[in-house]
Amino acid sequence: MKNLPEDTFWKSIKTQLENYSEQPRDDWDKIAAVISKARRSDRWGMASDIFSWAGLAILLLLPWMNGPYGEVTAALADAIVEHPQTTKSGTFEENEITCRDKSYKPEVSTADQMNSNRDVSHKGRRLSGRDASIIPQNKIDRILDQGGADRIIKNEKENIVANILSENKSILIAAKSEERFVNIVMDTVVKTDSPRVVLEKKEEALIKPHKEGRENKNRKKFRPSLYAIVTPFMTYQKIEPIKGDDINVYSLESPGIFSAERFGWSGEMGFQMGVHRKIDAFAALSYYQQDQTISYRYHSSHLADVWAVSDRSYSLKAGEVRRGFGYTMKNVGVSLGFLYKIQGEKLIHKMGAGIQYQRGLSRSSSGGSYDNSSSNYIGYQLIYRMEYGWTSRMNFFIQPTFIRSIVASEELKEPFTIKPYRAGIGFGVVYHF
Amino acid sequence: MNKELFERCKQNDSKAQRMLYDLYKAKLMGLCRRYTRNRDDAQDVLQEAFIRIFSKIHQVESFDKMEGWMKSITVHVAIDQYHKMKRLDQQSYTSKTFDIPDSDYRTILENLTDEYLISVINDLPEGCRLVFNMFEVEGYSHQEISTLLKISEGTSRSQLHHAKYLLKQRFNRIGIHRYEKLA
Repeated sequence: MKNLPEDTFWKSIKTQLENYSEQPRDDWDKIAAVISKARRSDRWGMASDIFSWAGLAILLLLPWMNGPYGEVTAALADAIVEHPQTTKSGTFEENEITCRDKSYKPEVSTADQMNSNRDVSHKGRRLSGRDASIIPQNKIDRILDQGGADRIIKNEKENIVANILSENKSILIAAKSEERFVNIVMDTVVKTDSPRVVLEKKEEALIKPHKEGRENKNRKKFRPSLYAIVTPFMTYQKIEPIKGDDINVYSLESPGIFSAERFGWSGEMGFQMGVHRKIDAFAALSYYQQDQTISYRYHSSHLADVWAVSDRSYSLKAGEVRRGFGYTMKNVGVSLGFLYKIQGEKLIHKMGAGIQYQRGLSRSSSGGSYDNSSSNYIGYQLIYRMEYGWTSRMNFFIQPTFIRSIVASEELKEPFTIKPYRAGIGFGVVYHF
Repeated sequence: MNKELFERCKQNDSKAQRMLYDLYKAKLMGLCRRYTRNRDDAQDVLQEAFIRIFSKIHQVESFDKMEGWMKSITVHVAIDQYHKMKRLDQQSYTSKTFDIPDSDYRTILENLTDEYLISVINDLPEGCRLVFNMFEVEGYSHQEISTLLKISEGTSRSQLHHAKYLLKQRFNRIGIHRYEKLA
């Protein structure tokens, strides 16, 4: 007798196992469906990425595109050209004003332009016909042919259980992990029902958790969430002159597109809730604060210098004045809107729109021409949100936002009206209840 | 031919993908059967493995590496499946008796059907089955196994030892009492 090392034995086993092959069920259709879906999803993902970058670029380029004060000067220049100031006995030295501005093309504001299948198949497998054959059909038929269910149960109880245990071992193995199912099967077999009921109960036991799971998933999807966001903003204004007030504003002193003087911030807290598979509605209370000074230069007929050129002719020169006022805001208000889920599971891309109403709280100091406390603003907001699943209950998000006032009812004693707008990138969290 | 098939699969050609599936499905199903406890689980793993293969095939540099890579993907999918099922897992270890005469182990092994061998492997406890397959058949080291299965190296060794012990018990029942060749 010759001893061989154990290794040789295991190598034989290994070779046999390594070369083992088995013809599977043809699941190509399922695989092809998932692959093509993934391809579509990739295309959407790419489109979404392009869209999000484009959106971000638009938000960031917005100040340049609009020319925050450019449009103001242009508008004012237009006003000057269209309504030259005249007096009884002479004209202003218009050249000083109009020649400079004639070449200036008025710009139009562009500010309002921005399981997996495998899991499924797994679940499907659990509910498949194979599982339904816990007791072979011919045996059920045979048992039923022998007489009433009660007698069968009484006589065949042990056989049925034995059948379950011995003839479908794989089911038993799977079932052992589902105590609930085992209990139902055993109770059913041992108590009163016919073998057919065993099948029904089993299917019910298997289907119910999935139904519950689906309902839970839906509940989860539509559950309300609390969110809070803080957004630093760069603020701009569209300024329109008041015509016929004998004042020509000819320049505004811009603090620069990204000047710290333009800085403002807002805080927002509210609720959001899924109203559709892809749509969330949100409602929030918001606070906004900025502290800005707007300076401008103007000519006024009230301050004109008049002198006699000859006996009957006079020359007038409009008085030039520089003026500034504090445009300080402390607003509170409400926001309402919708977010549309574009794509993503862990990192979710959403875009949205809403309306915002805000009312000023800050009283102007004496002599100030702008009284924030008497001002109201209604505007629209455009949102792009990238939401990242932090924990099961908490998401973190980054949100570029653009807000523009449609209606600005301000207490402003200046020769123009202002419609503010702002763009910023906010950081926030969502807490799911 | 196969090289061309591989290139076409990289370009998401659905006909080529179908051909690749037909070419390798039996081989990979055999692998899946070793890692799962029944045929339906194996079918699920196979399906997921092919989905992953087709979505990542562009990562494979050359055709020569493709088969090994496909096997590796399938093993990883089986491991993922193992992690998912772990919490539900209540092991059932049932035995079957086979009437095989006492004889030389080689003769016994030669007469063992593949199906029987697979059923013996399938009956191993989940962790033991994975470690046994990974170490003995696929040739992973204990260190690699410990990383993939998120267990310690010691656990991996003891799982392998236990797997062999259980297999020996099973083989003992069919007549392999000593691991030596009879003269």
